[in-house]
Amino acid sequence: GFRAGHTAAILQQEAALTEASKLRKLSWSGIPKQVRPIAWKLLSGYLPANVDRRESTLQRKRKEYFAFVEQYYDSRNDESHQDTYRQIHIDIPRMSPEVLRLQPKVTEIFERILFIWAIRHPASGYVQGINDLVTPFFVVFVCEYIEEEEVENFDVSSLPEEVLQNIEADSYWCMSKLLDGIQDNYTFAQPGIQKKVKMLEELVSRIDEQVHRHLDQHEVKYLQFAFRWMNNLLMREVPLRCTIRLWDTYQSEPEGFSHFHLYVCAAFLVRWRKEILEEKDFQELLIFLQNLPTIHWGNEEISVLLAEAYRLKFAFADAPNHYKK
Amino acid sequence: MDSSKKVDLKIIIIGALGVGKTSLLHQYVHKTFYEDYRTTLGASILTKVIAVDNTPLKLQVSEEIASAWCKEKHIPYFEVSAKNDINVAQAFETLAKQALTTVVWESSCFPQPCRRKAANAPCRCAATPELTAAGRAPVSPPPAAATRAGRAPGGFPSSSIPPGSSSGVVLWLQQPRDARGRSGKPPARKTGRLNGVALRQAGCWQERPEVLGW
Repeated sequence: GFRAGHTAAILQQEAALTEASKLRKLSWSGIPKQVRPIAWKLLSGYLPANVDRRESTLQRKRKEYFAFVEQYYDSRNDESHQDTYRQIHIDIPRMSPEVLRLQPKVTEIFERILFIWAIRHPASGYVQGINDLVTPFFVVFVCEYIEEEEVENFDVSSLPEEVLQNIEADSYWCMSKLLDGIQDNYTFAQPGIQKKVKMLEELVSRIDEQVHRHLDQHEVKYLQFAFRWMNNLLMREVPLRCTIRLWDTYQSEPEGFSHFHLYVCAAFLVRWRKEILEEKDFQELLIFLQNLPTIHWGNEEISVLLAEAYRLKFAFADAPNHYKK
Repeated sequence: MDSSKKVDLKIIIIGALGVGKTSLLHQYVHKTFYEDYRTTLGASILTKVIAVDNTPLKLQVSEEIASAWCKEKHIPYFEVSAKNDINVAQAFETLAKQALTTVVWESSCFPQPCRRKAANAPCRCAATPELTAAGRAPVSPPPAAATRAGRAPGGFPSSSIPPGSSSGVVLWLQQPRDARGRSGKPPARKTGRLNGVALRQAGCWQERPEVLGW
């Protein structure tokens, strides 16, 4: 009867939650490519843990997204929205050339996702840097349909229209979930970024005083290099494959994008301590910090970085100043 | 080249998004026009050593976005093209020369960018004096700036930059008005009007960090 059904539902929910926590644990150290699309949808909170509700949720959310498109997208040339649209429109061709996004079909999809997000989030609207955050989701979800290794050369328009629409809606919602957690990075004056850059400075001064002093002596301000690190989550500093690996962990870690990222940035900066200490003037330091040599980085480097970040988090999270060396 | 007369000169490039600040800078420093480049987030920097009247000048060129605060000032401008390398070096070097001889020692920083909701945003800058003409009376820099320059506050010359010091110049890059597409097609952005003004930058930064101080 009712009671039995009720108990069954609770048990099912508990099983789902257990599964969710297992998934987080497993995903922390990297998700295999084949299961990444579904894992990301679960980890981001876009898909419910409960298996029975997944398909209906997907259908409902996809419908909802295209209702937004129907409702708002025609207004992109209206006086009140044309600045937003224009900025998105000229930014998309100026994103990393390493992905499939310069294909007209991809440009179209990115414009829609970003415009709808901006209109639905007037507190921040579109801010440069947000555009980059669509890419990992889009690429991961496209990969579900690609056999070969090389994503870059894949012709997106060869996918059926319906598949592309699903990818677009899923990317929109997952990006929205991500941005919900870091919205103050993009509201006016970008207080989230300001705060995190200050926290990074504080953290580095505690974990590596020599590097901190060196930067200070040469008048390098953390804001001058770390603004970008916070603004698009290190996406400009490492190759896309590394960002995707990084996000496996960010989505498994509580407050991964908003908090754990700080420790990753600290580990990332200190990773270059030798090179930093060798640079002896302001502009050489800044040029180095804005062009870090990560082009050949892969999973291994990211794993080392994440392990170090985890260690730092363990040692310094909520730690009072007496932790200072 | 007499390297004892070496001067660090900092140039900031500001202007609306997509006008070609990065392209201009790359053309000047690397003599190249990149068809594909990424949007600049925050600020970026390049450097170049030149000699102006036998004084070696290290230009620290930083490209930035900020409000068009110098719009109404009477500032010389150049027509430039980053794509075709028209007037790029001339513009940078004329500004460098101008900065060497007629620099105004300013202790201000930029006013708050007015691009988005600036009215209700507090500015962290202490003062934003109007820049009128070269040769105005020097103003005392804030302590931060004095430390940075390695000298005690006060007693700044108003007519020239002493060797071994650093100074700053702003290039304000504009799009030609007719090229500003309302929507749809992106504007032809590689041609712009370049305005220059010499000033001394103090070390402070904006709430919205599109302008980074030194």
